[in-house]
Amino acid sequence: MSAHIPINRHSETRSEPSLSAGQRRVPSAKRPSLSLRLAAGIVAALALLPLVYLIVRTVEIGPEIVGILARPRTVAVFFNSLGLTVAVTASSVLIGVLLAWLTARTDLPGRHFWSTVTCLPLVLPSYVGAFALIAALGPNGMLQRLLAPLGVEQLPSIYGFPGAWLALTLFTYPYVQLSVRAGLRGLDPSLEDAARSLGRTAPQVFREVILPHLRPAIAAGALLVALYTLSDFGAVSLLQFNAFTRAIYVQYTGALDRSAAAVLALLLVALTFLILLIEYRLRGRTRYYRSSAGALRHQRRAALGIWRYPAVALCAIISLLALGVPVLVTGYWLLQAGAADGQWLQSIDITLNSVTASGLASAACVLAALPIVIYAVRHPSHSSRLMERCAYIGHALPGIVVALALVFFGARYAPYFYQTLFMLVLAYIILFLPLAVGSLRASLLQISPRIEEAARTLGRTSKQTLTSVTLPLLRPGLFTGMALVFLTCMKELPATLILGPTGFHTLATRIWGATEEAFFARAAAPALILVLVSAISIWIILKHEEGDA
Amino acid sequence: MTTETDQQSAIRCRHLCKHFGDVPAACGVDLDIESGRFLALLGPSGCGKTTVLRMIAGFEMPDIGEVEIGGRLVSGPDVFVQPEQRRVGMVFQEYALFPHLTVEENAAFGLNGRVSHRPERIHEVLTLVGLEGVRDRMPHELSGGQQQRVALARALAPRPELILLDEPFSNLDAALRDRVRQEVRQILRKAGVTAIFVTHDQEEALSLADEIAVMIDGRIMQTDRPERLYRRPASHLVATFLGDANFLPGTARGDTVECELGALPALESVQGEVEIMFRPEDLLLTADDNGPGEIIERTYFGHDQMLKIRMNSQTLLKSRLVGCCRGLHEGQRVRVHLETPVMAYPSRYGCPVATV
Repeated sequence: MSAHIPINRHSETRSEPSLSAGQRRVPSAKRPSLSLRLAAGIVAALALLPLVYLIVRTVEIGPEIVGILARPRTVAVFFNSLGLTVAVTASSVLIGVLLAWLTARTDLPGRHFWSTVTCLPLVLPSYVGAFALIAALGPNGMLQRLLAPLGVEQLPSIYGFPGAWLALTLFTYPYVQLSVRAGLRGLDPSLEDAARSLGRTAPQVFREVILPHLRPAIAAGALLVALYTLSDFGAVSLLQFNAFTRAIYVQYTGALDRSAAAVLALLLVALTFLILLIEYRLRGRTRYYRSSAGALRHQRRAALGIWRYPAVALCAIISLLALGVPVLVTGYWLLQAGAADGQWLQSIDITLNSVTASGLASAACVLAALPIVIYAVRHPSHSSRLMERCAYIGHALPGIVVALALVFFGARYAPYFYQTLFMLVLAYIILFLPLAVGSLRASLLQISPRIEEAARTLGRTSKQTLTSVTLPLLRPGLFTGMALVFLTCMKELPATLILGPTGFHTLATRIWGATEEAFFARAAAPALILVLVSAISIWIILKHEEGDA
Repeated sequence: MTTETDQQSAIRCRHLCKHFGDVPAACGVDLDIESGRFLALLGPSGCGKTTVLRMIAGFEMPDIGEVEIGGRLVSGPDVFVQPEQRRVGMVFQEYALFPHLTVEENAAFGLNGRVSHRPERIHEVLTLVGLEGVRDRMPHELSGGQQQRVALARALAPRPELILLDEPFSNLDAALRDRVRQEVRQILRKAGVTAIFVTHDQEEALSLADEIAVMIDGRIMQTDRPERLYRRPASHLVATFLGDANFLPGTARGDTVECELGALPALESVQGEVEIMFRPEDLLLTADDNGPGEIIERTYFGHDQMLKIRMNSQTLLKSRLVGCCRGLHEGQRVRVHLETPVMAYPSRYGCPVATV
């Protein structure tokens, strides 16, 4: 080669690999700061605290565990919970799939109306639903009073398995319905057209094409229902069905057998993890089923013909039970109570309590989620992923389990905080951290790391970049996260019941307590306020999501 | 910018290497750019050019090698200056404008963030990029070309030593691209700033840059002025990457090379077995029914056309002719001749079969 062609000598002649790097201790631009890792680590440890302490506590019991496990009562509780979960999941799937299909893919009269109305029960906490069912269908309830002149002395009991099954089905089927509806929307209509062109009839297409595609959506919804049922405390306790959550509460408050409560709680956690494991396995397979998104072509609607009458009747009955009864009952008892005995004044008090605890928790939760999310999204590594998983543990822990573990922990190691608002807020953070992490994560993923790098090239340090660029851009995620946590805290019952300071009543505990003692009039005003707050929060979230899009 | 920097290199990279796991992204990259020059880092996608840019900006730490900006060592053994202290402006491929700030606030970001802090400088850069009229708009209210110029204004405002542009024109549609390229070039000229831009588009590199560094598989193959790079590519690889090329085996004797087209003048003095290279536009054709070649394919592009010729020896050649060439149709026999000197590369393993 001639000399005056300016070839790069190094690149032509040398080929040494340069893996000797990384030994020097020079701060890299990409390495997360110590304070970020420390903050994320503390939050992850906090999230793990209840589970770890529960295990410690159970191990301490020693060989007595076998005895507790073998008690006939323990076995009965286990099968009660399992049976209820299976029954509620099955009936929710049936109703949810049917309603999703009727409202999304048929010519059901008034399908837009029904598709909204049948999803609304999701707003109601289970104990409000249980309150309504008991007040309407229970002994001395509204129905019986209506039927009394006809000579009906007694209605079949609402308490126990039938009541719990009915209540939980009525307030959980929307999970399946929403998930299946999304699945139906994501279904590429050309697949159905293809099946039809290959000689399949409409019912065959439903069985052979649509249903296999909906399987992941159904599974996702069903598993949500199963988790909800297993961890529900409100409906199960008010309707006096001896499932895990109620048994744990009774052991803790009544018998004061804390060891038995701990064993039951750990057993419940094991069952929950089993369900999550199944979900995880199933989710891994869903990818094969998902069709490509963005199929905006018109989907064919099935003609119901004569079947539209029973279809409308079904929608009406379910809406009446799940939505009509709570509204009627609440309205009836509000009128009964009247303005006489200062219910409203008391309600303002407890509403303030609810708002205070939930407000504190929502702000704290979002603050706690921030380091976890930034660490996991901006610095993906084994340890950051592990910490993020830890933050999600609240998703798998029933409220009563977290409450119980914190009571044990607080009584032994933090007597100063025991039965203070601080302890309650801590429980809320652990339980609802996944909501905050989820919405912050989605928000942070929308912000290109290039934008942060741009700030760095313009002279900002990584901390200044966080405050002047990342946080302002995260605002929608922070807001949604706070709203979600706030809403969920307002509805939370078991942790509030167990961890709330003495005499600290919230809307949730008031409704629960009043219903348990059959003072329905006292439950009505808080129930109305709670439903309104829930509805407003959901409206804000929806509004916000529209604004983003 | 201080006056000393005009005398010395604005940026110097020495033997930069970076691996991601086992995958080498850059191996022994050397760059040396004089102050005020505009360098294109040209290479196919995945060749490591963006990694080099990010090492200069301080977003990646080199495994080995040094980076010097304006005579100051910013990356080397035991030295790593954080990106915010390097005085390097960067224009990102997707612009990375701050969506929550207005145009002027974006421009002010590198000047402490407050518009009131340095109003005259913001006015100056926004005027320079021609966006003074839209200073109150939000980024999403601007066209792609305008967003590009906001990104440029933002990077220029703090008077950086160096501007880096990562595939700056790839997000613009073809109709807009040509105009924006020329605008950006003029803006950078007026600002008198040293700049490196990364591109995979050889036409873009040839038309915009003062100098081009061709990077393939993590290595810089050649750094040169555009004309020289095109006329005198240092290797077969660089020649093909920068455009269409004809290759023929030959024997060199100093200033001439013998090949099947006869004795041709060589651009550079060589000896022995060589592979010669010339551009299709250098190959001239004359219709001749007894000529040694036959036109086997003609592709018409409007302002020019590409003809494929098969010689009697089965060698295939390409010829690019401007304007209409009456009589040169498929199947026509032709004589071929060259009027420009050719490049000749020593062929170590004998000459590869000519490829077209």
